[in-house]
Amino acid sequence: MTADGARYQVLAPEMVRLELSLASRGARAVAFLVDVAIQIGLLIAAAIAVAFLLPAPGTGGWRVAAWLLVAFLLRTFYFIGFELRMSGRTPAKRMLGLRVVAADGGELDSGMVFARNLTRELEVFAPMLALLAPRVFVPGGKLWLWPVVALWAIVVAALPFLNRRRARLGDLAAGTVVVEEPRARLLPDLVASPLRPASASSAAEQAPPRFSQEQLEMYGIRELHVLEEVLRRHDLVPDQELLATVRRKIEVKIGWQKADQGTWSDIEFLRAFYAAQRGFLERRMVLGERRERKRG
Amino acid sequence: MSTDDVALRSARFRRERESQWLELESLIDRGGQRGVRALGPDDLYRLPALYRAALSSLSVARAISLDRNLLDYLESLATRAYVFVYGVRRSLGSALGDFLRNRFRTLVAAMKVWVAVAAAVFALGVACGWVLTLHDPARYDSFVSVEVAQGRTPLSTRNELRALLRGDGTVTVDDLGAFASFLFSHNARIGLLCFALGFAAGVPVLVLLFSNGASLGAMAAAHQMHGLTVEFWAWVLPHGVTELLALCLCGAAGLMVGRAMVAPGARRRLDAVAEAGRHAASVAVGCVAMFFAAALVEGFFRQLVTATSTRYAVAAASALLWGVYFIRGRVRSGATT
Repeated sequence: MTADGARYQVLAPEMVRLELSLASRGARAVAFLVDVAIQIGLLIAAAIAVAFLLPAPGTGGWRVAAWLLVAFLLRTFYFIGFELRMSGRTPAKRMLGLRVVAADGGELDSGMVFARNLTRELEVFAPMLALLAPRVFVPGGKLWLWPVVALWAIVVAALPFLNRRRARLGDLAAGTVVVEEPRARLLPDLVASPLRPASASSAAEQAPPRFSQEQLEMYGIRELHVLEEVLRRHDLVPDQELLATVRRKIEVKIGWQKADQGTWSDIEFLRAFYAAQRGFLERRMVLGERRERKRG
Repeated sequence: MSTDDVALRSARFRRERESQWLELESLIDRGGQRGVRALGPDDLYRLPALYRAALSSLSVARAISLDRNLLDYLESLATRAYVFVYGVRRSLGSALGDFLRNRFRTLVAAMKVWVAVAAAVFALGVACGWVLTLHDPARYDSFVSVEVAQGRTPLSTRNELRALLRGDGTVTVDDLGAFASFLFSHNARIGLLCFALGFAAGVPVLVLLFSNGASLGAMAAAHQMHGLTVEFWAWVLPHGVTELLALCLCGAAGLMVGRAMVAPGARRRLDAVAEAGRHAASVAVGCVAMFFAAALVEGFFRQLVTATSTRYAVAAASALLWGVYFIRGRVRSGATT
């Protein structure tokens, strides 16, 4: 789960609904800047290489030619080449864990990659060109070009905020979406994994606490997940106070009579309650009843 | 071991399937950034089954399990596997090669109406520029920008113009390289601009086509006033055939997108624009190749070969080449529809 939380649903060709996490706009902006920085680095390297390979004095024109060619090809094919070769990622996107996928759930084909990157001409480079060399657009170059370009820049920048897919112009043109690479670790099943014995005297011989149906009906799925979170976090960073607090709250809520049913440590109690509660709610869920929240 | 883990179906289900998920995960990790190509034959054999198993596990888990971590994990695994399997994995070289051989021609053939429109607008621009400049030479400056003119105006003398057309032999190969690259970048940028402007609903494309045509027409008129028409066209056409064709194709691509934006027909506007955008972008990439070829001719050939008849011969040859290339594409696309 991401902090941003914006999800995009896609129907995989196998007819399974997948939820992708949309990349944050900030991350995408940063990735773009990093890619530009990489390109600048490559251009500098190319200039050095060209100067090195063609050192003879009469080759000044060739050097410029070679470098201009590299610059243009780099600008046009950097993004396209990487997004094709690394299945929807550029070096910066890979660093930031972002990826381009097809919005309709199918394969990201080369036409899409071409389209989403060529429109960058319109989004970024054309306005820059219009500002720096307006005569290219309009013979004579007019002053009205500046506010038009400013307006265009605002529209282009605002576009990712105005639609649900956070699509920029290129994404709209190509039918793509930029998502975050999901990464989740599989932690042990709380129900199956055995407990470490709390102390030498208890645990080994005692049966786990049993809960009645009325007691298990007090809570819903959301509380179950909160309890799971507490237990998992305790596995990483033990926090006895939190366990004690949670246990007390549960005991009060379900009307648990402590007296003569044996003593269990907090963790044993909570584990047992979790297992019982989960089993109960899962059985209900299979029958079609999902109780999301607790009663009362 | 308590009896609970057997009683919970979700725990049993997980125990049965867990090894498969971990195997799939390690497979994806091994694929790394290169994707499926990095896998060996054994892995490739296992991948489809593991992928489908992961997706089905996700469906089952959603139905029977309330283990939040498990659900998150399976969502993540399924998504990663899906992206892994369906991510495109072509090298730029092979994609371009196949593209230039097949797709480019078919795509252009599919939009021949727009090509005709773009060519018509361009021709109209040429005619206007020509006629208006002949009537009133002062209009030249409004059609032709300073960089393109490079010192050629209706006020130039015949000899000045002639010298520029001929190339007086003082230009070195050295400078030509830089010149060619500049031309390539400049013209390709114009072409790509045409395509990109299509997304602004097409009208700017028409304007750009028209103004470039007018520029050419005005220059033709300026030369005609000195009786240099034949030499002028010999100077323009060798690279001009390729370059103007590419310009019209880019313009057509832009118009196609503009049309999808303005009149999407039965489909949703976004879908229509996306489809037209993909089609147009692929055409634009092919046009970049054409601009490159044109720049080579413009930068080198034109300065080194000054005989008028040779220039016309090259112009005719390039026209023939492109005609054959594209018409064979039309025949092919006609056969499949």
